[in-house]
Amino acid sequence: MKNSENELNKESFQKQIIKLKKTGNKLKANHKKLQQEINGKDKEIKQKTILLERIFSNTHILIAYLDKNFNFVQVNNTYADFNNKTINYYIGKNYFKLFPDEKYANIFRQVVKTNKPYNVFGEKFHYNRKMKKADDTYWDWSLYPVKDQNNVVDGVILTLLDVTKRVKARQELEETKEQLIRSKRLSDLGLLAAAVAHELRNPLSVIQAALYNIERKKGNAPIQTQLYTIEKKIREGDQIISNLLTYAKLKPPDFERVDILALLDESIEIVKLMFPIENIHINRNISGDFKNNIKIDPFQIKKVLNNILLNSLQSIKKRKGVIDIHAKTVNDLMELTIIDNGSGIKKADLSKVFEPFFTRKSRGTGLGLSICIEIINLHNGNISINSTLSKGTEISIKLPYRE
Amino acid sequence: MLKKILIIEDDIDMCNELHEALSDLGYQVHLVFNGLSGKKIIEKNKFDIIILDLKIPKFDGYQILNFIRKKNIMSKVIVITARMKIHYEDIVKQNQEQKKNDLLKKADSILIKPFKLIELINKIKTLQ
Repeated sequence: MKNSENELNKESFQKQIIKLKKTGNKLKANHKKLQQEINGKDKEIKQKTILLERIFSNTHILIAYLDKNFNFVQVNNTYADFNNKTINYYIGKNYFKLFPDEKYANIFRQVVKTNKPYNVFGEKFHYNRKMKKADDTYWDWSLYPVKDQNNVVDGVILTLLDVTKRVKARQELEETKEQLIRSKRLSDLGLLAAAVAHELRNPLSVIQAALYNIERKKGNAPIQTQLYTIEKKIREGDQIISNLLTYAKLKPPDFERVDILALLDESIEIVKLMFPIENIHINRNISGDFKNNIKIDPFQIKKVLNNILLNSLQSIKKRKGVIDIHAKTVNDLMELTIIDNGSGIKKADLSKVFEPFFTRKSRGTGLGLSICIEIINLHNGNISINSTLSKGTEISIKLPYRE
Repeated sequence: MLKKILIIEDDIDMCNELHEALSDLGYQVHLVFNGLSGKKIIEKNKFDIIILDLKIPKFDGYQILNFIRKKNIMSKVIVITARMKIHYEDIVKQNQEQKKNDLLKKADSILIKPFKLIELINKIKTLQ
């Protein structure tokens, strides 16, 4: 009995062992399967991390992840590079310790408090870090709240995108638009100018012909003054036309390498003919290191010199007049200064002298200095004026030499 | 024999001044005030010199110039004009402008108004 019982127990025991073995095998297989799955997931996670890391690093957008107290958690390469620092430099540091700014601190706090993102487009910054020159830059930037599982803000993502090129392009477009409007106005003016020129030159030519006949027929009657007046008026009229046409028809300069001193001499000769006044002395003062060869549009620059010299001559009444011309070279700029001791310009008028059609003369188009500033601007130069009433006027022209 | 000059110019004052000055110098001066009369008189008469304004009514100076050269009329032509080549460009359409400039090359001489009468007289003397 005992034996048979034992046999039975042994049998069931063995059965159990087999069962257990089977279960063990199943568990083993399961474990293996799970391990494989885990390994797969791990690989997937690693791949995804790499992918995210790649996206995070390879973008022209500056990205920084800050905790809710605005300490840097992570920044991307672009962010670090922009300020010439390493990523590790930032991690753990407080944003506003690095870049103290109350205005932005308030915005950041608001984002954390309200849990609402903040976006700005094309904001102007004045950066002078990485760039060689301190230059205005424009940025699209945003601050997004990052929430934990309980939907509580525990950090922010700051992204910055340099849109300077886009903004500058838009500004250029605006400028071009303005230029187009201006061109339209000038072309209207051009047609007017052509008509005026033709109308005015006809009577002038008659005066000129009459002048010849008077001269031919004159007896002993003193008509010399009238003759002189007629001739002067012809030149005045012609100057008006010439200015109107030049102003209306200004175009980009035809650059040519010329000797500015020779040009200046030509101008002096021309204005002396137009204004044959005995008691005016024109002095030239040329600096020793003056570079007189310069690339300019000689036709346009001569116009500028003529207009300035004519203004000077006209402003010198009766008393002894002196016009001093200084020429020097300063830092790759040619500087011409023309100083007269004429009647000068009222302080209130000084800001208006470059505006077209502004004049205090009884005769004149008010275009002389407008032409000058337009031409100098077309040459990327600079013209400035200084004047004291009844003392005189000083006009300074700066022109780049350009290669 | 007297040198014959034709003046085609619509400004009567200008014509009178030119007439007076040139007659006194011994020229035989004829005046017409528009292009059409100019064309007619050129067809029937021979002139040594034609002084031609460009902006004249009925038949303009360019057309007269073209007519003179096409008909092989041997007169010397002096154009007088208030038109300034440098500034006038691209105000009128470019191709039109080019045609006009080409036509102007057919003139023997061009004087831009206002010119000195002595310049005109000198031109006449050199051309005859």
